[in-house]
Amino acid sequence: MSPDAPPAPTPARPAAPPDLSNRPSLGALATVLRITIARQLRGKRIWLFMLMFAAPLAIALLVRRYDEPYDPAESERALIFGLIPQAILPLAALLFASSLVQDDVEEQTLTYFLIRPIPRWAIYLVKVLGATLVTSALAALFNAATLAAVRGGLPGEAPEALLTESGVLAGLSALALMAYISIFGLLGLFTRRVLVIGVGYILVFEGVVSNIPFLVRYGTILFHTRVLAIRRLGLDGGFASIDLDEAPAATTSLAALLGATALFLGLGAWLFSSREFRVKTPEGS
Amino acid sequence: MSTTEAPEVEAPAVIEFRSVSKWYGQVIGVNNLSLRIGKGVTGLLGPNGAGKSTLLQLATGQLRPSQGEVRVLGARPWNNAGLNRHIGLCPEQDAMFEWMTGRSFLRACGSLAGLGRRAAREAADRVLEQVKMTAAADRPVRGYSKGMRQRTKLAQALIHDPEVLFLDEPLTGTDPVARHELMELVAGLARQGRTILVSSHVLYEVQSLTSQIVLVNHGRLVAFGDVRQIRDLIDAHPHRIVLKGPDRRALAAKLVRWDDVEGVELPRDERAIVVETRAPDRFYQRLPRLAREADAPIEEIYSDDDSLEAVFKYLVNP
Repeated sequence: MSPDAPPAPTPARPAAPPDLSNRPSLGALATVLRITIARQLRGKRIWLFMLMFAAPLAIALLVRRYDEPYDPAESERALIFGLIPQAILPLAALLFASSLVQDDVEEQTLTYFLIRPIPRWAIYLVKVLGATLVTSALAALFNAATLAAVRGGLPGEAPEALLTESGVLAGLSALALMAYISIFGLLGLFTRRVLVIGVGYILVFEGVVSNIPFLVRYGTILFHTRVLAIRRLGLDGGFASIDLDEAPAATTSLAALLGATALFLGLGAWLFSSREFRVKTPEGS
Repeated sequence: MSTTEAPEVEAPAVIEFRSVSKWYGQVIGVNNLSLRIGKGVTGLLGPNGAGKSTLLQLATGQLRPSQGEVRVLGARPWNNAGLNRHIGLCPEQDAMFEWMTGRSFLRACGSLAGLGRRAAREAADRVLEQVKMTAAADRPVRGYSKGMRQRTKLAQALIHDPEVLFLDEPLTGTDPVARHELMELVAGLARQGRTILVSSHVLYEVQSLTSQIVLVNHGRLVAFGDVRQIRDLIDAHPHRIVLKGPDRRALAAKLVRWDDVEGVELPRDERAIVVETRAPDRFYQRLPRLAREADAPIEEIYSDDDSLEAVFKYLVNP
């Protein structure tokens, strides 16, 4: 054997060929999910998330306390259907999605996933699922709390109606968060500047374009989320410049959200499978 | 052993690099390296930045070769999750999931490796015992010492009982007792028929584990084979012998006239001179006469060449 000469073409395997099945066990996937969730719930990120969601809750309480006469519908439009879906949901998704893989790279723990019999695409998808579950659960809680702060205890307000609306909002938030996380997760595989680019995207597309009654808004997550909210909850679309006669059907908006999510998830999973992640070593060796 | 000649009998390779190169942009991590490694323990030696970790990351499928082919157990490791059932890696980096205890970390690694809950629990207990970490198993890993982290990292590599083990600097930061225990453990694993590739930048660590070594530097294969044969190889290089005495200038004046002395240096230590010779045996024989002729006592003699570290230096800096 020589370092320079080409190696002899002798068989390079032991007697029995190893089992090379790529099928991961459910337990392995569940462990990836558990570790992802545990990581998401630790550190400063979760506090920042709560701080962001506490803002509309605090505003709702202040407005209800000091606004005379108090208009719950106005508060609901501004907070539940305005501030939260337009700014807080995408920012929260960006916060969690940006660190989806990057945290494991920087903390040098990605190796423990990559050296296991779990296909890379599955690792990525489970990580996205973990981030979506954490953000969706917390968003559902804060949405419900904000809704209760806006309308809870008012004369003629049935608790069952609030519960139903909270459930619908939880579902819509989960849909939007999954779509945003799939977009920002993919972005995070391309660039380290995902936060800057993500904020730019949120400001331009979800903040401005989605509110302009023009064709481009059909390409935003917020527009379809609002269409679903308006149709499901029987709202007047005027607050978001949405004409219900021209707006897509609920199934179309649902398909658009799920389709976009699937597309970006697929691209992210493919990219995660095909790119290398250099985990720095102490001596740079 | 030779850097240029093939052994007479080729054992089946478990790990094989075929003309492998790896670039990071303009930087070459591994440069056209071919190597076949069979069962047992093989030491992968090289200075920091030599490409050892790159080789291990290529072999464990974390990196894709820019050129050439890597095979482990006959399969390409890149993006081959199924192969990971059969290989274990003890990474160089110290990171673990810091919020976990040692035991929960190992159970998680067992589950990630495809073991069922009960099997992962039992495997965690087994490997904790193997690396002698049972007593500290329920403490958070963030409080572990360097040695404890090394043991835990080795344990996670063993959790699924792999046939092939890649150990990246596994002895770094361990105390002498831990070092001895880990070496015993690695030797025991090799006796069970496993293939183990251990990287290190310290020769004396690896010489206790195996006589079969691979030397790399600047991403190139410098030499591989039996360490005793490497000793023969270094006879082609000058040996550096250090002499210490009160009158080093008198000694140096005599030594520069000797035919077998290639060079004499006067280092910062005011009592020492460093002699380079290609005939160390003859040099040692003549030393008593030198002391008499120069009328200068020699208080201390030692040679770097008695340590494998010097062998390594010769080979990576020819």
